[in-house]
Amino acid sequence: MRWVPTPLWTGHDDLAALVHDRWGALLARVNADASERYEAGEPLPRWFAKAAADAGLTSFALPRGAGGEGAGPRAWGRVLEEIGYLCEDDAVPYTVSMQAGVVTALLEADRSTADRSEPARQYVCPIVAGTSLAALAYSEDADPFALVTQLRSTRDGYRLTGHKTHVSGAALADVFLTYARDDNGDMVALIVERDDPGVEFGPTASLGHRTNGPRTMTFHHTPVPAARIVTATDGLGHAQRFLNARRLVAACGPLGRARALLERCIHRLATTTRYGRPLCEMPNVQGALGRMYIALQAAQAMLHRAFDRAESGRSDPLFDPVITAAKHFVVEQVRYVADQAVRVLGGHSCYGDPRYGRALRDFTDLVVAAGAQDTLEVLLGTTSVSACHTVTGREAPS
Amino acid sequence: MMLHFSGTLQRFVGFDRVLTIPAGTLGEALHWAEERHPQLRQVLRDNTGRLRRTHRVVLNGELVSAPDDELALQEGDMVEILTAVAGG
Ligand SMILES: Cc1cc2nc3c(=O)[nH]c(=O)nc-3n(C[C@H](O)[C@H](O)[C@H](O)COP(=O)(O)OP(=O)(O)OC[C@H]3O[C@@H](n4cnc5c(N)ncnc54)[C@H](O)[C@@H]3O)c2cc1C
Repeated sequence: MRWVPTPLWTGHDDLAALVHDRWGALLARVNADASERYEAGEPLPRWFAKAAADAGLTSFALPRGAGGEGAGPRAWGRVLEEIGYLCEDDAVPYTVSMQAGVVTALLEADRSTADRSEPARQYVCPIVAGTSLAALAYSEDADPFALVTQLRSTRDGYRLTGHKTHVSGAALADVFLTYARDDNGDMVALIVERDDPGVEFGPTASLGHRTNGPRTMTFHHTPVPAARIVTATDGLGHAQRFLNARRLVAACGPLGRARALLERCIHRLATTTRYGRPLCEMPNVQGALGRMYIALQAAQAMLHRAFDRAESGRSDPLFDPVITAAKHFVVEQVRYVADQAVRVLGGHSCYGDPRYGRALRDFTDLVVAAGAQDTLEVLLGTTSVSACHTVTGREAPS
Repeated sequence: MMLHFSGTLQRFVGFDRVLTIPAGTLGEALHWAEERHPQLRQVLRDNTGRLRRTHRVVLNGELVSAPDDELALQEGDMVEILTAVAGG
C-alpha cells in the first residue's frame, strides 16, 4: 500500500510519498543514532554523502547535464521539507542542499563562457557522486564590505590569508567555496581544498546544529592556483546569489521537522493523564495545539508561495523579498511551535524526550543563520520603502 | 538630479543622504559622488568598473532592471541606490 502522510497536513502533493518511498530507508538509518550523535556533537557520518548521492538525493534538483534529475525549486523545497519531517538530524537537509547549492553556484559562474570553467569541471562530478563534500566558508566577524581575508596575486597564482569564523560541515568537507578580497579590493569567489598547505581548522560550536560538524578555518598564505577562481570579479554578487537561494532551502527542513514535532506532541498529550483525563482534552492545551497548527499551516503557505515564485523564474536572484520574508516567517513559526510544545508538555519536554530541546536550539540558530532575522527585517523595510517612495506623485492607496 | 544613498551605503558618503549633482547620466552622477567620497568606488563597482549586481538603482520610484553608466538622467530626477546584502 502506498504510504500517505498524516491527514493533519492536507493538500499535500505526491512528494511526501516520493520522499518516503525513495529515501525513507536512508533517513531511518540516519535516525537510528541521531540522538547519540547530537549529544556527542558528532557530525553526520561520512557514509551519508555517498549513500545520498547513490540514492539520487543530492542530485535531485541539479540540471540533467550535470548528472541530476532537473527538479525545480518547488519540488526540491518540498523534498527538503519532507526530509525534515522524516529525519531527526537537521544536518541531512542542510548537507544535501549545500551540495546542490555549491554545484549550482559553480555551474552558474561559468554561464558567460561556452565551456565549463575549471572549478566546475574539476569539482561538480565528485560532489554529485558523493565522493567529495562541499561547504561554504563565507562568514567573518565583519560586514561584507569589510572582509579581511585576502587573495594576493603571485608569480604563479595566488596566496590566501584570512580567517572564517563558522563553517558548517567543515569537519568532513573536502572542498570549500570561499570569498576573499583581491589586490584591488574586489571580492573574489574561489575554491580551497581541505588538504591545501596552510589551511587550518579550529573548534567552534553553535547553540544547536551539533551534528553539522562546524569548524573555524584559517588560511596561512595558502597557495591557490588560478584554476580555482570561481569568479574573479563581483564576488559579492556571487555570494548574495548563493545566499538568497540558500535562504529558501534553509527554511524547508526545519518546517518539516516542526510538523513532526507537533504530531509527536499530540501523541504524548493524548497519552498523558492529569486530574483523571488526557492532557489533550484540556481546552488550554487544545488552544495551544490549534495555535501551533495555524503557525505551521501559515508557514507552509508562505514557503510554498516562495517556491512558486522561484519556480516561475520571477524571483530576484540576489535578494528576493518574498523568499526573504518566507525564511523569516518560517523561522519565527517553528520557534513558536517548539516553545508552545514545551509549555503544554511540561517536564517531558525538558527531561523526557530530547527532541524538543534539540529543536529549540536548532531553531534558535536560524535566527542568525541564513541571514540574521533582524537584518532581513531592515532590508525588507528598506526595499519596501524604496518600492513605495516615489517622487512622481503616485498616490497612496485609499 | 539628486542621488540618494540608502541603508548601509550611507556611511560611504559620510551620511550625506542626498547629493545634488549636475549630471546627464548615471555614470556621471556616480563619478561625481566617487570623486568626493573615494571609498565609494570600490563599494559600488567591481573590478571591471561595472556597478555591482547587489546594488539596486531606483529612478523616480521605479526599479531599473539592468542599470549601467549610460542611463540617461534629467534635471529633477531622483536616483536612489540601495543595497540588500545579508549573511549566510
Ligand atoms: C547554525 C549556523 C550555521 C552557520 N553556518 C555557516 C556556514 O556554513 N558558513 C558561513 O560562512 N557562515 C555560517 N554561519 C555564520 C552566519 O552566516 C553568520 O553568523 C550570520 O551571517 C550573521 O553574521 P554575524 O554573526 O556577523 O552577525 P551580524 O551581521 O553582525 O548581525 C548581528 C545583528 O546586527 C544587526 N545588523 C547587522 N547588519 C545589519 C544591517 N545591515 N542593518 C541593520 N541591522 C544590522 C542585526 O540586529 C543583526 O541581527 C552560520 C551561523 C550559524 C548560527
